Amino acid sequence: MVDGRFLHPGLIFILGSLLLPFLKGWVKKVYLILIPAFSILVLTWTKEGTYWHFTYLGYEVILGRVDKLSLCFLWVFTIMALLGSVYGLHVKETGHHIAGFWYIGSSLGAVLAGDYLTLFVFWELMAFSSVFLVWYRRRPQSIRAGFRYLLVHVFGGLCLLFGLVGRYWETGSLLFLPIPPQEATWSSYFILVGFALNAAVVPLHAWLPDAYPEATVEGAVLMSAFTTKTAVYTLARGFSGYEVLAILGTLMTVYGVFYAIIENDIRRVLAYHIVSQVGYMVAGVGIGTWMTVNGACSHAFAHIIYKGLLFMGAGAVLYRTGTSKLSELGGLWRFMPWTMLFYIIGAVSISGFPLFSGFVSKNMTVSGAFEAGRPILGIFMELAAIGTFLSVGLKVTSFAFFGKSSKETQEAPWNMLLAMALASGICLFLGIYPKVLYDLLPFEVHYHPYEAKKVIEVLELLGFAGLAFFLLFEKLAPEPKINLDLDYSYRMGAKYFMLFDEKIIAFIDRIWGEVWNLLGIRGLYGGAKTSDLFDRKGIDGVIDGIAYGTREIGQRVRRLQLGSLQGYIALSTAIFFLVLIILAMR
Amino acid sequence: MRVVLELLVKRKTFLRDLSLLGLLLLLLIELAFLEGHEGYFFERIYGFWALFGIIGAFILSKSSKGLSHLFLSKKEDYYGGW
Repeated sequence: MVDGRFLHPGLIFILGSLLLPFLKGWVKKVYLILIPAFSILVLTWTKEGTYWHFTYLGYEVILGRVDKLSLCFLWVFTIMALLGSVYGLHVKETGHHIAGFWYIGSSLGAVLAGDYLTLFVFWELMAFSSVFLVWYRRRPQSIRAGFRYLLVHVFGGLCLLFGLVGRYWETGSLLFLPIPPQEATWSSYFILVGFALNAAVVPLHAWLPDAYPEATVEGAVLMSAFTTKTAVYTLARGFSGYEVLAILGTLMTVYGVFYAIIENDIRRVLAYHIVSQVGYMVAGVGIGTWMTVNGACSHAFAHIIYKGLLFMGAGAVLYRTGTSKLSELGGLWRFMPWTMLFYIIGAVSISGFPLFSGFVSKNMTVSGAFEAGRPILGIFMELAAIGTFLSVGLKVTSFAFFGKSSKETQEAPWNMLLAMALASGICLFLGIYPKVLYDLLPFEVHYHPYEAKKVIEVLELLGFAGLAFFLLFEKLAPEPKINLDLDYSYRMGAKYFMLFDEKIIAFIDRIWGEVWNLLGIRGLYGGAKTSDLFDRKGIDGVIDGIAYGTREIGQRVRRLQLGSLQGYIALSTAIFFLVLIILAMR
Repeated sequence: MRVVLELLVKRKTFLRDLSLLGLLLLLLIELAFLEGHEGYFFERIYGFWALFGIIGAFILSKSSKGLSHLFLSKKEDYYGGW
């Protein structure tokens, strides 16, 4: 784990988790904080460079590629790991903590991977560890959602594997380096599909709103941060400047808010909203200018913190009330005022209000799109910003925290509030001092977010969208329904496949069984009898016939052996004369 | 915290009026920055983003709710055990 001044932060989590089963009480809680805190400390002395570079079975393996791009993601991942650990301190199941640590560790490992082989191992580890965060909720629907999540990710992993094998076949190298669009081959596109699936790029997104709302309260907080953002990192690393990403990313921004507006469950609203927010990042990578790639990275950083904060708020509501459905909630400001305050800070941040982190990150991508001569993409991103404020900002706040009081409850536990307070502080800090964030970005930043014109534009956009919300308030009331999405294809596909299996295939199998009983078994018996007969009469007949013939001749010859000399002379004489007669007749 | 919130909830009409005033104020402030307007043609139109905000919100709300009611929304147990 040590290489000069490099300690692998991912392995700190993975190896650190091995001690967890032996710890109890407050010692365990302190340890849960110490591991992420230590990984943050490690990053403070980690310098850019290539570490743990060796050859394995003829392949170049790099476990520690540290540069500005990877450092940006390492920082936010470890900070989020700390926040997530504080938030989940009350969780008693050690297995849940271990799954969380393995998930965080493998995400860090994927970010540090300098070759596809290492990336693939950590990539798969991410999927297999995070699924336990869904299963630990232990509801039947969570178990099923977990299996669907796993199956979809295994499919994505196979695309990645297929692509990386193809790439090795084509180039003789597995190093994970940028692939310019003009040099892309079929293998590059398989890798791209593998990455895009984890980034929930439409139409490969349905796993996300399917699985995240079914995860545990604490698991969803972690899941909102790592899988999609690791994928954004890999896209930024390998596939910057791909037009398909610019277009699909922009589509994602609108698609996500479209569903976020109509969903009823807060965590489904937030999950769909991840699709929308990751869309800005994917589009930024796809447009591929320094400004938009910087925008994608800064937005990933800010997004991880405020989306984590929003999932913490929604999780606290679920933890206390037992539901996260807006149609069953209301008036929580009386019972959970601090949770509401922190949620609103997250909502204001994600909506991109000045002085909050979303403003300094999201607008960099949007302005970058305009500056890159892509006004249509920019306009759609602005439309998505409206949807963000309508859904996550106004709809959830209005219907969960205000309105009619439906559930009496109490404030969230202290550790949840502490994690939310810390995340809120970071959202404000980054919004007020964006230089701290901009210094972490891969390219030099020439963007100034706090120009009067930009501030006015954003305030007008969001302010008037808010006015529209209150005009449409009744129409936007949540309904206790779900909305069909593309997971319909494999959920109903599986259902119809099983129906086909149970009805058609089983029917054919029954018919075949009958036919076999009638014809097959009889034929088999007939065949067996014939071959038995042939064996006995034919094969045995020949063999036995020879044996019988030999024995018969032997018997007859034996009878000639009379044992008296006179008899033998008489027989010999008879044979001699018989031969003479035959010869004479000729 | 709760006391502050109760105070704000009691004055929600005042807050609503204040917000509307704020929006008007924004449009007035924009006048001061008309000279500096650059970029694409639509960015040079006075009040464009305000108009885009309100129309965009209507379009998004109506289209999403409309499609939801048309065919997307289903009962919560629609998928059953799937």
